[in-house]
Amino acid sequence: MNIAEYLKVLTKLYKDGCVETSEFQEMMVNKDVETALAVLGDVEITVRDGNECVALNEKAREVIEELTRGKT
Amino acid sequence: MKLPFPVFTRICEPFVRLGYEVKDGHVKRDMYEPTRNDTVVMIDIGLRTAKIGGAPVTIDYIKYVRHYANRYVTLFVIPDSWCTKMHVDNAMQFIKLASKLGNVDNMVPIFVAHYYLLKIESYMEILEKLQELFPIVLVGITGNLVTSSPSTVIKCARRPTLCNHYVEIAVKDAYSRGFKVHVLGITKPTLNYLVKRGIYGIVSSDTDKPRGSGRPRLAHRREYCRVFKEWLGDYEQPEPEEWLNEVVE
Repeated sequence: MNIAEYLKVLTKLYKDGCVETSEFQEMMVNKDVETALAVLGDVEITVRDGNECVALNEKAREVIEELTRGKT
Repeated sequence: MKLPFPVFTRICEPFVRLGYEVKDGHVKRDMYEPTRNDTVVMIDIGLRTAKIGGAPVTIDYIKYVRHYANRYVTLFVIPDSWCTKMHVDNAMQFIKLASKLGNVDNMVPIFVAHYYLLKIESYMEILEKLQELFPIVLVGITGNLVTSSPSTVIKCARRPTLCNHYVEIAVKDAYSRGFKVHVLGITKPTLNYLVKRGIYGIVSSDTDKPRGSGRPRLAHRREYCRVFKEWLGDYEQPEPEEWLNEVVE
């Protein structure tokens, strides 16, 4: 995959901010999320509305913002 | 708190992990005779051997496994490789040799499912053949350096969240296919995560961490097992008999 494809894979995670555990795992099964994260950053567990969810970590968000600057 | 599954480690009974490594054509076998009758043994060729190409399945390896299986329930890794072709060839060679074995009641093979999400469909034939030969077959999932794809390795120490989720989905998938799982080289954060989440389908794991993480190699059994106990923290190993009953269920 190239960078554009990595970004595409992580778009939902980036835009939604935080996804439920089961949803994140579904993404890992269906898409090459772990490969994209290996290149662009990592995820962390966080809490939204009192529920645990999975989000891109700060480094991953910074990398994606840098890569997409002027393109979105 | 009692662990729902044991963590095998070097020479700390009752769950003992022994190594059989091939380095520059020379075989190095851990030789340890347990003192407890209820000890369970786990044999692995190690991460390094698998990473650099793997070790072929040999009669010598099977004899080594047999030596322990004659007295103890013995879990053993079918020599694995990060190279898919060699990995599959090894498994097929093992199946060929294993079909000539007599009593295999104490032998529990672990087939390591490298690149799990990508390859599991193609591994099913191997797993089903193993099930025809052995009463219990375990799927091995890596829990230290996660081999998620031929081009990606997740280092669990650096990416614990990603690693934990990967292990979880692989375990759930394997269980849905009728297989229980051994997590190879489990890290403490992953152990905590799996225990906290109460994930069903894992029956065993192993680690050699007490000698790693910047510590000098601990040569003495007593010292190693003390450090392993520290590593376990508040967890207690399950009783072998209770654990075996759950495995065969």
